[in-house]
Amino acid sequence: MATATTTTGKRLKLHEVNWGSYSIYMVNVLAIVLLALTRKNFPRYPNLYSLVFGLSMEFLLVLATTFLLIMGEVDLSIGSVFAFAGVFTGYLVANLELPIWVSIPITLCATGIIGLINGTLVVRLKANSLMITIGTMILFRGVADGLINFLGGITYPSEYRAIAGFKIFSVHFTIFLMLAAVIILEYLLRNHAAFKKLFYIGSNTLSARLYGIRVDRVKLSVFAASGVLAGLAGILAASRSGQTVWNTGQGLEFKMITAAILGGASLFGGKGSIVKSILGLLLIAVILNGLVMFNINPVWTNVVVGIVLIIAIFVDTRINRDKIEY
Amino acid sequence: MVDNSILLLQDISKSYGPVKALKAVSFAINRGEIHAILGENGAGKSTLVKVIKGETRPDAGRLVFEGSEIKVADPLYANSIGITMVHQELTIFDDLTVAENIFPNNVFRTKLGLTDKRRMRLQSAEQLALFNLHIDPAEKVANLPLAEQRIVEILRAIALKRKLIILDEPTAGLNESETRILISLVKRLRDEGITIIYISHRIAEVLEISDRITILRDGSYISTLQAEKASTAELIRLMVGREVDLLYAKKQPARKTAGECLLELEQVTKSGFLRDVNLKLYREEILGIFGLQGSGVEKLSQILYGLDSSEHGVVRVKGRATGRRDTDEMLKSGFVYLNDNRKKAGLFLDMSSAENMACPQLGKLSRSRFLNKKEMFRYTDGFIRKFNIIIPSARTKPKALSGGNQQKLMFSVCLGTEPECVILNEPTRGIDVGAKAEIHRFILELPRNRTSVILFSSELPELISLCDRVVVLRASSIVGELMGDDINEEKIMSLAAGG
Repeated sequence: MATATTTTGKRLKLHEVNWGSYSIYMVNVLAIVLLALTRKNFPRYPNLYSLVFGLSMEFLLVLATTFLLIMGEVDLSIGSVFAFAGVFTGYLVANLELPIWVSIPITLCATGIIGLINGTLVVRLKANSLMITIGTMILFRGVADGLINFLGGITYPSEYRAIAGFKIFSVHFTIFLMLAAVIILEYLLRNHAAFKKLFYIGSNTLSARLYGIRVDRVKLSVFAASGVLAGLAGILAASRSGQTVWNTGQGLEFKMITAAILGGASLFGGKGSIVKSILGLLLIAVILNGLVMFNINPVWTNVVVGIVLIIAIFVDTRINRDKIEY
Repeated sequence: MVDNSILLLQDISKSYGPVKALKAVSFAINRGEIHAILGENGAGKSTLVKVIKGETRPDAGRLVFEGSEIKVADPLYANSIGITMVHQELTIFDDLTVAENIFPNNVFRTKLGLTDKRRMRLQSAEQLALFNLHIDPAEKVANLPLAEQRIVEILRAIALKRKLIILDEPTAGLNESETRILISLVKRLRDEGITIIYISHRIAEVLEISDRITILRDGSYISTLQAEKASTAELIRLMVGREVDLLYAKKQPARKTAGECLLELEQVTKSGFLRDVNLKLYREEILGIFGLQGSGVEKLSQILYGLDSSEHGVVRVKGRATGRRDTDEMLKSGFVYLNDNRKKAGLFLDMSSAENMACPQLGKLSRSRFLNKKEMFRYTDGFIRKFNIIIPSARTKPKALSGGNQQKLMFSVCLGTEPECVILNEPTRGIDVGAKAEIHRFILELPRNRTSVILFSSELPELISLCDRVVVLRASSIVGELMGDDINEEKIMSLAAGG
């Protein structure tokens, strides 16, 4: 009879470490060091601060995308919901003259319901979320456009515009919010039973169902959360820019998926990390910043990001080849 | 000997690793006959078919078709010389019409090279009329009943001018009258001069339809009989007549099967799958459920665990009638389900074994909803030792394990919930003999720990050596219940095959 060898989960051997999973850290460090050495304006405080502040305005979206990707789902409507939330809050404040502290909760409820609609369609129709949310993406883009048209390009009232500018110790509160959210959510994702279910569902939905996970219910709540997060991000962005225009938030959904995939998530589910998704987002921001530093027209950003993503996927499939076979 | 054979098999052998699927099988198929191949699950029928249609190369032996040896193992080549197979799983194009399915190769062209739909439809109608079938050639195949879909597939094989057609369980899932239509079609094909190899384990049907019957058992050729001279009893004896495998644990005296009823089905019906099924499961018994393909066993296992719902009837869990159940509730009331296809569901191949073990136990393995990882690994290590799973560490992902160890891990995931009843669906499918014997030992221990077992298995020796009671399904209904010494291969098979 063969004997079973077991280890207590404590010890970690060097050769067991999956170095591929740390590549996003290394690429970020590499890109930042390279820019810092070649461009003296890059490492200056104002530049780095604006980089991080920009990140803090968008990070909520990448949270939503990451949670969904872990389950093997996608929400392409977040860019539209982002725009809708901004202009809807503007409508409530400017036209209905509701106070801002009433308007924001109403908007978040509305975007939460949009998320629920996405979730319900995916769960009830047993449909691919990619297809369903293309539908809702177009639908809510249309609703946002209608509202923008109705408001006629006004600048939002000052109490609305003040939110994004709110500072603690002369640092924008959104930066603190981002740091706290990332640390807390990453910890929850790795340790909390409810968050663990996302990985089970993404790894094998049928197995998860066999072992008592209420797959439909979990999916619904994450889609709803995705709507709320996109709504919150949209309100912050609209507050910062003071108005919502027709292309606000367009393409953000793909930027977020790119960031999450750079951070190791997969469209097939079962993988993902909040910290690494944020680093993916950071990498995109650094590349954009670098292009500006080298006086390259920012219209070329997409070319660079596209190439980086393809390289990342190439490296991932090479290093983790055994993972995708079967 | 007058050689009127179309296909000659000479000493065909094939092994998969240590398993000898075919052992020097030799026999001949005559031109224009319906030749049935009969055997239990695992007798080697499907391997033999794979060899004939060129899907797999035999390790040894010759295959002679119309006088010349087939040397390449290639399904396309086999097709080109006139051998084809109609699968159990249909390979028709759901969204195309009947005519398009019968002539998929675009043989009718207009001058511009487009499909001549009118001619194609006329030809199809002609084909259909030949067999007295009233099917509209313009109908989408998805809208046809199963029997007609299968007929369309058979007509395609004929339209492509095949000489030898292999039919694999063609009547599985068909009702009585549909079976009749199909059988008469097959007979008419024979009269047209086409040779048919008919795979089935329904003895009555095989006796009715075939000219000759070849029996395989444990990969060996047993005998070929003239159908008119054969009897059901003789066929069953030939099919199962082996010494009881030493592999299987010795059966202990039957426990009494009365007392508290854990699960009860009353008049459970699901159209197309189950009809008025009544079933009771008592505490501390091992209840076996057997049925051939298409009998509804698969659906029954799903309904028992709440993976699917019935249309009529009542399911009582511990005496309480439940309407819509989900797996979460079933787990909470002490049930758990071991899936039959561990590649499809039952494990998380890409997550660590410890995470696999934790899935149905998230509540117990966490403190105020936070996973206690130390406890999770300790718990997993316990099961690794208990079930003797050969694994580098609890961090190892199941995909790195052998089939047997994967199965044992899946078994551990289920038993970790300390269930009052485990529903085991093919618990030893596709694993080596050593792991199989171990799993049998674990199953026999379960009732002693006050756990009931419902065992779905297509392996008769497994059911016979493990079960206190065996229920047999045929054509959506329970046709019999066996206890004690009545649980033997002959009785089970004759109930299941309706001999």
